[in-house]
Amino acid sequence: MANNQPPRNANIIAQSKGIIFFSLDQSYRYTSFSPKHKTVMKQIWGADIAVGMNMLEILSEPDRTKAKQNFDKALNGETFMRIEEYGDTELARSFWEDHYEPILDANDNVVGVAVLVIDVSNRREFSQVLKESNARLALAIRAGNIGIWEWNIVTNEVVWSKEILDIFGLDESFTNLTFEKYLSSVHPQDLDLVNQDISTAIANRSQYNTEHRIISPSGDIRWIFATGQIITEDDRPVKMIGTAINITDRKTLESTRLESASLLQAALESTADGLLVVSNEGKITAFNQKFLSMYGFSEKEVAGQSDEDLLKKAMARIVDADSFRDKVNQLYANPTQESLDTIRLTTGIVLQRFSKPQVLNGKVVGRVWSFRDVTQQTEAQESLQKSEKLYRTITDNMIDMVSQVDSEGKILFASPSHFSVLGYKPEAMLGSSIFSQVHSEDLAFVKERFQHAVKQKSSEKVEFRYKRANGLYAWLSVNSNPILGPDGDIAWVILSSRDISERKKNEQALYHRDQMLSALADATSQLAIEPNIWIGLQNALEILGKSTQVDRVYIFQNFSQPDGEYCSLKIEWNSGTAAPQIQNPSLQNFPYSAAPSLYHRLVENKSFTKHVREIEDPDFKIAMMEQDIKSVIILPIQVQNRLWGFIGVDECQQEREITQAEYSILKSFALTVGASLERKQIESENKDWQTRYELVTRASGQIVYDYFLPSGRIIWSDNLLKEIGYTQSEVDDVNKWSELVHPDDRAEAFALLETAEKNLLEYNITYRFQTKNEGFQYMWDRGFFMANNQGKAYRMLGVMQNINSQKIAETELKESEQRFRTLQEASFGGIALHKKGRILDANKGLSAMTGYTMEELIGMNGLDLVADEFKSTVLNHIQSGYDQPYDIVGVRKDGTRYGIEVHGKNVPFRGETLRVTEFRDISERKEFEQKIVEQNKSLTIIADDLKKKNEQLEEFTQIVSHNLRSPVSNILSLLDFYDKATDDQEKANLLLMLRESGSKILTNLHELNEVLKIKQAKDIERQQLSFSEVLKSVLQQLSARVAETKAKIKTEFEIESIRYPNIYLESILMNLLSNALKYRHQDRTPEILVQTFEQNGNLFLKITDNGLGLDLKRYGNHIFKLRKTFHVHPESRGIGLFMIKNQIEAMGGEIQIESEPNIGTSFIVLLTKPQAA
Amino acid sequence: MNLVALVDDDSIFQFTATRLIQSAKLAGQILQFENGGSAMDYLKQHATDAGKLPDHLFLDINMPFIDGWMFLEDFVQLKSKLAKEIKIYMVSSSIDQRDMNRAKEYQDVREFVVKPVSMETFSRLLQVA
Repeated sequence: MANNQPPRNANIIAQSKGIIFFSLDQSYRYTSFSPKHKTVMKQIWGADIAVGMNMLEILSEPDRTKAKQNFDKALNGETFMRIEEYGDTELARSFWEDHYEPILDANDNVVGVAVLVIDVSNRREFSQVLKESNARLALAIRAGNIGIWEWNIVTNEVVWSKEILDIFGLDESFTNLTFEKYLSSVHPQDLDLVNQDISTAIANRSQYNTEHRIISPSGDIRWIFATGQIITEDDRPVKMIGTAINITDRKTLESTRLESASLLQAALESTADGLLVVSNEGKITAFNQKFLSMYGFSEKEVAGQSDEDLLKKAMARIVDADSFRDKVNQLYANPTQESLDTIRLTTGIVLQRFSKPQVLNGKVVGRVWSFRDVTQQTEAQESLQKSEKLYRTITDNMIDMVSQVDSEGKILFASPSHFSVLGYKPEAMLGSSIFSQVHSEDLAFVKERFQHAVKQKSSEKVEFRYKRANGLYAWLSVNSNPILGPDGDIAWVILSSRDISERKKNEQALYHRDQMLSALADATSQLAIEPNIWIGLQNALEILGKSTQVDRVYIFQNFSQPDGEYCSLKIEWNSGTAAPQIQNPSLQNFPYSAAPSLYHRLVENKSFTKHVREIEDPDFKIAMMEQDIKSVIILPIQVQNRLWGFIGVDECQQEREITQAEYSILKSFALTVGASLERKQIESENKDWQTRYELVTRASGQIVYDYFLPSGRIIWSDNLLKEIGYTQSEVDDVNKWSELVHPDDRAEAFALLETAEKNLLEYNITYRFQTKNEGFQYMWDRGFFMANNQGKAYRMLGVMQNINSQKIAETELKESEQRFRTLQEASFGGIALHKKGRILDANKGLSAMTGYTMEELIGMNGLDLVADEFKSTVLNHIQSGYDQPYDIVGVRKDGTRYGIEVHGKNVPFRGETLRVTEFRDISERKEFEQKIVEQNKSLTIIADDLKKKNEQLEEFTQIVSHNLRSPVSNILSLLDFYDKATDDQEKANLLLMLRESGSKILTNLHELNEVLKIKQAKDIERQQLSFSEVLKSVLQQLSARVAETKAKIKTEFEIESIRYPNIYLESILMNLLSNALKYRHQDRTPEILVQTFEQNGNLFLKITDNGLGLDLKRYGNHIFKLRKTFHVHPESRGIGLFMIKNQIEAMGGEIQIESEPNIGTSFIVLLTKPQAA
Repeated sequence: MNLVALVDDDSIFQFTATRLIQSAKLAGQILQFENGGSAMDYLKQHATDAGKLPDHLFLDINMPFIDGWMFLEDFVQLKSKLAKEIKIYMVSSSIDQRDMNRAKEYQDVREFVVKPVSMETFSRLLQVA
């Protein structure tokens, strides 16, 4: 290892924020690096790096291979950028942008690589997260390094995400992936398995998950975890969507783990080392044969013994036994300590002993000792050291110059090597002063040291510049040794000198480079600290210019014009020796067309390093010469992978070759400037995003949150307080959040969250959330996860929105719409929902009522359903929002008119005022009413009829039980007597009574028959009759009685004629008149009034007498019954009223009686009702 | 001897019933009324004279002018003024259940007797008394 570490500059390390930069030569040895890089290398690899160290030797696998690939790519002349992701222990994710740049010499030969690493975590996350939802998927894919493909089974086309290419080791130019090609990449040994899994998945319509190997085009074998899911249409597989993940690392790890166990076993014996394992308790737990042979122990002496005994035996065979024992005891006292020692045995064997703790599951359980026989190496090394010493002595002697001078410095003797080293012949030097060729800057100092040495009679060592014979200066290191004379004074001084030019040169280069690194760190931190990038750049240029001791440093920015590319000088630093150019108008809008050689290099992202006299383009050359430029270095500045402009450095006093270190510094500065400009651009973009995002959250009420899974911490957007009333600290972790979710929704909210987290899906849920002031509110919560590079969710970004009013409105709307729909369909009438007459919706009832189809009704003007003369009424009612029912006439599709009752109501519906109008067909209603009336009427008639029939049945029962049974029972009694009678006279008497009873039965039967005839003879023919004529005929039959009683009969016929059966009218008049005559009052002449009149269309007959009268309270029920007599009168048979009542009722009439005892009786007969007329 | 009243417009029933009662010597005297009105007039006339009032009264339902039911209504009014308790039997050719039920509503009616009435019935009713 090289030990010439560069001098440390505390200032640099203190400022070492941000930039990581280093450059390597073709053998991966450091040629320069930034302090930050040194810190990082120390942190990660524990290495103290220095210029000249091979970087690859510090790294371990797999990073070493990866790094080497990248370095080699740059060493092949490629400039490129890589984005690397790292997940730290906190599961936080960081992104790093690695810029690789080949370092070219003046002839464009690659001599090294420059690497600039920039932490871009913030801007990468920001832009990836906020931009669009597609990015979320991309993020998930990227984070999980998952490739997605889709195989169209029908067309055999395969489309894939670009990750697939990486996973299968295909380059970007690869196109036309087919399933067969995929299968052809599968490792032959796994092909059957893959085929089987896929066929099973297709057959079962299921998902397959297969781990298999593939062989990439470059020949390496990779392990792939492949999944596929069949998509079917009509139960036919049409598509398969799948993912692929490169699990080679995991597989390797798995197999490594499996192998390590068996390897350990084998290693124990196969190693050339002697091994001894001792437990914490001091017991020997393992050893190998090699160990025994090294020490000359037998197996018995070692196996199962205590280490203490073994140690005693071993000490007898070791050269420096005491220090050996001390060392062993010290190690046992410090169980975790490791050591590497050399032990010499008395046998001459030299052992290298390595001791380390045996650790199992993080605990020290014992100590492992391994011994290696290094006898031969040691011997070889020792002999090498000896010979080297010898060699060194010889060479040292050869290159050293020896001279003898007096106390004034005059040369008395010079060794021959003066010629070979400095070019002076020794004899020519004699007599001259030792100081004559010393560099003027060093002379005073050299003289002073020389005189000091003479005075003190001491040895001195001085380093100074001394002019060679060729005029160039050499650095000499001179040792002066005074030689004293017998008097004790200085006799002369022996100087031994060595040419240390080479060493000095290196030292100076190191110093210079360190200065520049310091400057770079300063310049970079200027860019980082200064918010105004142009001021930052100005400061940075100054620092850079001073450190590189150039005359000008400047930056040009490109711009395009229709006729080509141009550039303009933006900022300049000037040392003061060269004229400033910032005001030079020719450096504004400078056309690249004047400098094609420059433009060509810049576009290829290469530097332009020239002495001005060598520039090919004449115009460019002249322009440079006008500015007194001798040498120039121009480096491209790229922003977002496009040429933004360039940084240039001018040398105006003399031509100068740029050192590699200077080039590296400039290169890295150019990269840093590009990165800064890029950061500025992105920052301002981010600011825009931030602004938009704030506007959106403020306007929409969306609460944005950022949830860190490992810690459970949640950060909310500032509108949290306004929206739900909580401060940040009240809901700053996931448990506090879950406490506020409604208990009924909590389980679902968590289950979904878990699933989304596990599968890195979008979280999308609505739940009720306890707000601070407004109780539970419906919240719509959407979030998505970001995964670290292990595919695990570590962070969630989401949006929560109060949708309570929407949710409630939604529910209410749904309910009211449902209600409306139900009402509509349940209604018998027609219902239309319309907007100012234009029908938006209607029910089937309206379709049935109007004759229009539903399709015709929707969109129709509702006024077209109304008869012309009512249209204005309806329109007025619609406009005024009239909400009472009213009747109008409607017109059906076929033109027919019908009465309708219309009942409209205004309803607010989704922000509009609509009107629901119900149509009721009143022609139907009227018909219906009519039908009911008719039915009621016929029911009444039927009921009346039934009542009458019932009464008549009662009467018949009475008639049968009394009027028929009575004489029969008499006959039975008489016959009984007759049987027992002995007297003929008596027998004759009994026979007479028997005959009387028999004839009574016959009479009764005859009368019954007559009544029955009346009841059955409803259809008896009606005739047009005159009351006067019928009365006249009746009075003729009664003429004897009338004459006998001297009765006065008067008539008042308001109605003269009637359609009625003649025999009935005669019967009615006959019975009533004869009754009136029969029951006349003894004290006065009978007066009988016969009247006809009409009341409400009813035709009445009334016969009033001044006879005996009846106590109606007593007899009212019985008057019109068969065989009922109320007067003790010889002619009273009780049949007449019963007969005429039946006749009257058969004709649909009624009979009533009004009477008062001793005053008279009136019979009022309703003969005909209007409809019967 | 028992004084028996027959109230019936049917002259043949009056004849047969009188003969049966007399032949079995079940009554000392038989009073005959051809309707409820004349029977009621007699009772009113002799209300305080126990010797003239009948012990048993056979009442027909179906009679002209004042029928059996009307008589019973008048009798309820008269009863407390009578010097003697009169046992009333409804006699009818009716086998109508409604008539029988209606008769039961009158406390004074001892029994509803269906025509023709046998000697045994007269004996039972008049002897028990």
